Amino acid sequence: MNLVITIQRERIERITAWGRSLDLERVVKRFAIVMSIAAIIWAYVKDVIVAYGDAESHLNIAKRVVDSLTPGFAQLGGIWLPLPHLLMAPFVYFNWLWRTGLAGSIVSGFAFVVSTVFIYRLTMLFTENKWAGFIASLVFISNPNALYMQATPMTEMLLIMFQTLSVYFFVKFLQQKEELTSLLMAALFGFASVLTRYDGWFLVLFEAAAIGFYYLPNRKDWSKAQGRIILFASLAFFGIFLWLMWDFLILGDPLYFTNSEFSAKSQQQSWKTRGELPSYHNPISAFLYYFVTAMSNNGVLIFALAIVGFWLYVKDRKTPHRLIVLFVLSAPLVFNVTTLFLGQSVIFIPHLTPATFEWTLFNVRYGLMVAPVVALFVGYLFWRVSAAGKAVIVALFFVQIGLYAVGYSPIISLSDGTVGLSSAKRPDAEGWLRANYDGGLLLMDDFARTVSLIRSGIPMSNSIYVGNKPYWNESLQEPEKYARWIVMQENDTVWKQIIGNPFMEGRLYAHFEKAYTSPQILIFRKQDKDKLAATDNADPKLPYRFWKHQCIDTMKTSRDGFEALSKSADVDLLISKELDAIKSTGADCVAIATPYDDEFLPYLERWVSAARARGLNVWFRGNWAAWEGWFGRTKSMTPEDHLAKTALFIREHKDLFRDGDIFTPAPEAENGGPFGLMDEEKYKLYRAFLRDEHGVATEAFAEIGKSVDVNWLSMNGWIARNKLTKETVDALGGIVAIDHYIKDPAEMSEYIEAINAAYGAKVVIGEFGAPIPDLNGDMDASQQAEFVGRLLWEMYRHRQTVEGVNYWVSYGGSTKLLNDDYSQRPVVDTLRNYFMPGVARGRILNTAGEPIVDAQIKTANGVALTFTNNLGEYALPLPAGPAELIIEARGYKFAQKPIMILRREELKLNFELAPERVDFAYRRKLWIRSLKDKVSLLKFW
Amino acid sequence: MKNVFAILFLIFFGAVLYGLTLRGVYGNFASSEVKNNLDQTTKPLELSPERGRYLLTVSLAENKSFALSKELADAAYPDVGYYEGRFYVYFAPGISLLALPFYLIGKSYQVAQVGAFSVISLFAILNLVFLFLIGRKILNLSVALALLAALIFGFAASSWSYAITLYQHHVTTFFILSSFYAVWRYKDAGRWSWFWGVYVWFCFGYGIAIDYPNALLIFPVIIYFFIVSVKYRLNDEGLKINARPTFFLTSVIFIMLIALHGYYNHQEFGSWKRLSGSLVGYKSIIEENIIQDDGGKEKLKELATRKSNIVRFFAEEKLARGFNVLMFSRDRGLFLYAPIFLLGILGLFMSAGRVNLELGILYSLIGINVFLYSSWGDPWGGWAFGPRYLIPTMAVLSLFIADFLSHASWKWTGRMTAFLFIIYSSAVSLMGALTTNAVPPKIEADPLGARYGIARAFEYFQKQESSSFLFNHYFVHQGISLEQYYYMILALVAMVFAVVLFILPLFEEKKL
Repeated sequence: MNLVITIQRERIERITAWGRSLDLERVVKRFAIVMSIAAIIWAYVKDVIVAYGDAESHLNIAKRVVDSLTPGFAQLGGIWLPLPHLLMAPFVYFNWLWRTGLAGSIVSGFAFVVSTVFIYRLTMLFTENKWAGFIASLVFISNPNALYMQATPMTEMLLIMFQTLSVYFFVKFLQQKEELTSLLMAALFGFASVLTRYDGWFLVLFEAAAIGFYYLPNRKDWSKAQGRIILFASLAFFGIFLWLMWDFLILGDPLYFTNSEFSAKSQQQSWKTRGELPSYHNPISAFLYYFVTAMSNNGVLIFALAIVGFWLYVKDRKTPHRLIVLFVLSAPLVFNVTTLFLGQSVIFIPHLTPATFEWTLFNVRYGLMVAPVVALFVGYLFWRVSAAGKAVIVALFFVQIGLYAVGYSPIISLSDGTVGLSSAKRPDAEGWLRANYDGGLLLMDDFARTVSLIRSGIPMSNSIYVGNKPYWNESLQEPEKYARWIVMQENDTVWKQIIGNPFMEGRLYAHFEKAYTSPQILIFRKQDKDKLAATDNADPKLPYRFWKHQCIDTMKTSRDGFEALSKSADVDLLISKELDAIKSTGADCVAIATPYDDEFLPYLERWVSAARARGLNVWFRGNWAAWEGWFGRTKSMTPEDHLAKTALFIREHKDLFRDGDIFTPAPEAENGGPFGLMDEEKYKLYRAFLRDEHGVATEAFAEIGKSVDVNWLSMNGWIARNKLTKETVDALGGIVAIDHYIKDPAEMSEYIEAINAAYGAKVVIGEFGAPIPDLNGDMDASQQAEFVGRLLWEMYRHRQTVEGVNYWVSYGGSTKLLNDDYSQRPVVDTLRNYFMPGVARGRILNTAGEPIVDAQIKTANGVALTFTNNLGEYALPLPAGPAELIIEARGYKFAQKPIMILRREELKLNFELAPERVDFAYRRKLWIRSLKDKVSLLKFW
Repeated sequence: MKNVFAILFLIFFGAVLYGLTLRGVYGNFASSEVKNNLDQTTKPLELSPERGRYLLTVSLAENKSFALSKELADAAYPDVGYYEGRFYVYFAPGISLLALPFYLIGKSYQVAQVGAFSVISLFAILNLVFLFLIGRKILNLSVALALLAALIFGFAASSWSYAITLYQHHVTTFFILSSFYAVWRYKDAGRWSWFWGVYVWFCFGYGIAIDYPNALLIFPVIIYFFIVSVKYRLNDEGLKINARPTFFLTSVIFIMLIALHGYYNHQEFGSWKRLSGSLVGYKSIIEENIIQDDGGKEKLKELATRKSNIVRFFAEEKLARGFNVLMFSRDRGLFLYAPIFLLGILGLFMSAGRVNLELGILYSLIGINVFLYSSWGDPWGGWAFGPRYLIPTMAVLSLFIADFLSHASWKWTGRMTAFLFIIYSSAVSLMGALTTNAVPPKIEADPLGARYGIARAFEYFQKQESSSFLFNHYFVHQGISLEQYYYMILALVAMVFAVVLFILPLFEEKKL
């Protein structure tokens, strides 16, 4: 007994009649539109439209053509071909379409729909069977890689459209016995391909050669072949000619697209150097890489079906010109294999790329270029096989979809865009910039793709990149000239231009503050004009100081010399000699390190009173002897004891202190008490101790009514950088004091910047000096002076962040300022240059005698600057020594003058600036001025 | 009658050769004797798949439990999972259950392990029979060529190494071949068609209990079963679709087997869909020093979550490399171990012009097997001799070798070529069968400084270390060296192949 179902003949005929009457091209078109829109919506919701780094670059190129600092066709550049950007240009004008990437989706989506329709028509040319065409189109429409790429601003889908159109008309030309309109259409879309991607150049070459092959067998037709090739090439190759001319005229090299440092070929060089260009000069690897990439992009089962279809087509001797058609269809394959072989491109795909490579996923989307050919041959296979074979094809089609659904087959072009090397990086800096950008021009090496313009909310017209001449070139020399923001990534063009170049760095830090730091990315924000001017005080009075306190430490005598010195009959004389020398450097304070215990008090008082007599503030940098076990004391003091004794000490010796002093209860507290070698728990206790010290001292000084700084709690620089917390630093009043000796003066800057960036804190250099033999080796007196000069320069450069400095040490020790006989070493003069700055002062007028407001007066190194007031007056404090002043004002030619700044002296310096353009009004002013001069001359007579 | 003689010959010849090479040791050893003894190279439990399956059989026989005792778990280590204080081997229980009666019989003769392993040889012999039947009846091959197909699979392929130890591959192949044959018989709609229907579903259901990927490997046979169960005809009335209810009714047996397996999973692992392979590894527990306090429980949960991603072990990105490993690599490549299969590929392509439903199903059996294991994270199959995952493919390709010889226009040249390939392939296969399956893949061998591929087996061959039960317990005491033993068997194999290739056809009805 069997189960029998009968479908009546009429019903079957109705169904088949309906099937016959169905306009499948229209069905395909509508289905493609629906799928295209659905995929775009999906990509939009998932935020992957601009997942590729290249996707944003394409959008940005198009945007720059219509809306940038220097809009125009020149923004098209000379590497990527222009047509995709020109097609996107009308859409990217609208910021929403630009930022979402939908401007590109519109173009690619349209290309997808057109491609689908022409895959249908192309398959019809091969089979004259609309169901074969339908299957071919369905294969293409249902390819998730194609669906994703058509949702992006990438250029692949556009090329697929133009290539499909060109091939369609070319095959039509062959089939319809030399129908010239088709040949012209093939050439037209070939021309469009040529201006879309370089793959298109291969296609038109192949098509031109195919025309030759077509006429080759019949000698009589050779002249005809010549004519057809000329007809085809004159249009199709015109795109190549245009591009070569463009590169020649705009960039000076017709082959700029392949010779430039930005070209794909140049980029492959780095892979080659690392030995990670597996297909370079290896034809088998090149073929395998492209074969597997194409397979993965089209689905492994679909690809297998296409190979069977291809094989059947090859064997089908009845089809005329099939080898010529195959030759044309092979263009994408040959192009990609050739470029891989030549090292002009690279593909990394996990299927083949060794896991030892830095990246195993890159450029896999190239495999999609054969998707129309794959679809065509699946359609062809469907047409050729029996009903059972058709059922197998349909079944395998669904199995392939299942393989995607269960994750067996990845949507590899999407993966490349999201996790592969092709993906746009999304550094934290991008989010930071989005939250903090508040207008102004931004200088960034766009090629390095440091942060995304579209994601960080920066208007394109506010970005300065390599294509904005003259803004880019000038900004690399004078970063402050146009930019309000500078974004740089390690080793990008901006970084290489500035970082590591003391002159440029000085300039940078004079005008900008570091607003964001990460291991790879730095963001600088220009300081406000008021703030900039405030840096060097709009009206500096002499004696002027760059730092709130500039101290010199006496530890070697005020503490270590206690035993010897306190018992000496000449104690007061020796202290006087040392303090006189300190006073002569321009220091305003002396650091005294005598312990606070009763036993040392008389000695401490001697030092303090001698300092007072010389008008020096005192930085109390002693401690309780038992904290670190000085002078034979047991290192037994607990933090609680320390705090209690300190509070009592302040209260009981209120006459010891004066307003403006500094008091540190326990310098380098980490070396004593319970601390020493610390784990995280100990660091917690240590931070609590710092806060408590500060609290106890603040309270005690408030009680005795003295204004003494108690938050200069100096510590080892490494601890300051790595083990403090923002909470602790805030509790200490936003000051971090470091006792820091370094091998290279630049390290000092690194610490200052790092501490400032980590805690938003000002920094006190609690101890600095040279040479420390372990770090710096031996130095003679002049080397010491030179090294300390560089150190002071770094601290001067960061004077906005550095609150105070303390040179360690005046007498005794390797870093001493004074020789044993109290004569001064050359380093003292170096200190004086910074501790006793001079001031350049004057007026900036134009040649008509009018004051120039807001003129900028700066040193050539850019580290010091100020602006003129409403009267054109300026005053600029500078370290003593030679300098070069530059005066700039908008609309005027700049002036430059070498000067010599003398310690604590004013240099009167007026400037007259000539205007850049002398217009009628200005001539009138000049005339009036000359008249006035003549009148005053007459008066004089 | 010729067929009966041929089948009897295959059974006899198979029994002799598999008997001569069957792996084992004498005595009913205790589980404590496994570690650092029977798990060494050339010993019967040298690798964890046979060790795990055998120890599960021991557990079933001795403890009446699927869960291993701690002692057995330690012996079966590392392919042991852990669930709620109990230990389970990672493998589906089907093979161990099949081996159980043979273990018990062997035990009574002090050869429990040899008895258990012999079940696989039995299935391997049945595979020879089914290959012969398929060749004869479905592919219409001559007796000689059908015999040749069976013999190539049995003795000119690395499948030999897995016919003499406790692996799943021959049982899987048996279920595939026999169910394929059963569907072909069912197709005739004879009196016994319900029996063939039941048998097909049984193979599918029990096949899954043998090895979980069998759900896919046997699936083409189910498609075949479905296609032959549904017929449609277009006539004046309309389209008549005629479905045989046997297909649906007999599927009850499959449902029952799956339900039983689900019940087993539920009873042992707490969920009907949890498989032993997804359990937290005993290895992880030991390596991560997890103890049974609360912290340990948390860690176990974390490990269990990690394990759930095991399905992703099959992935397209592994396909190209896996295919290369299975087909061409020096450590596992099918064509290096048994180049005779190159003729199988030729035969496969040549048959494309005559494709029918049965050939289509045979193609898909190969396709799925190759596709599945090329995509597998470990296409090498751990330490193994040859591409063990391709044993079902070897069986089907053997048929295409015979088909190629049947249809090739250059008969004698073809046969001569085949003979040369066969001798090489047999020599290699016998080398592996007599020595070891513990051949590391190149990526593991290189850091160990060990040999890999055929050279590894040859190394043990030179050292006179054999895994053969009969050689070690009988022939070696007769003063026969391993070389002599090897050449004796190889000569026998070569002679039989020569007869089948060159002599038998002369007696057949002018088919040459």
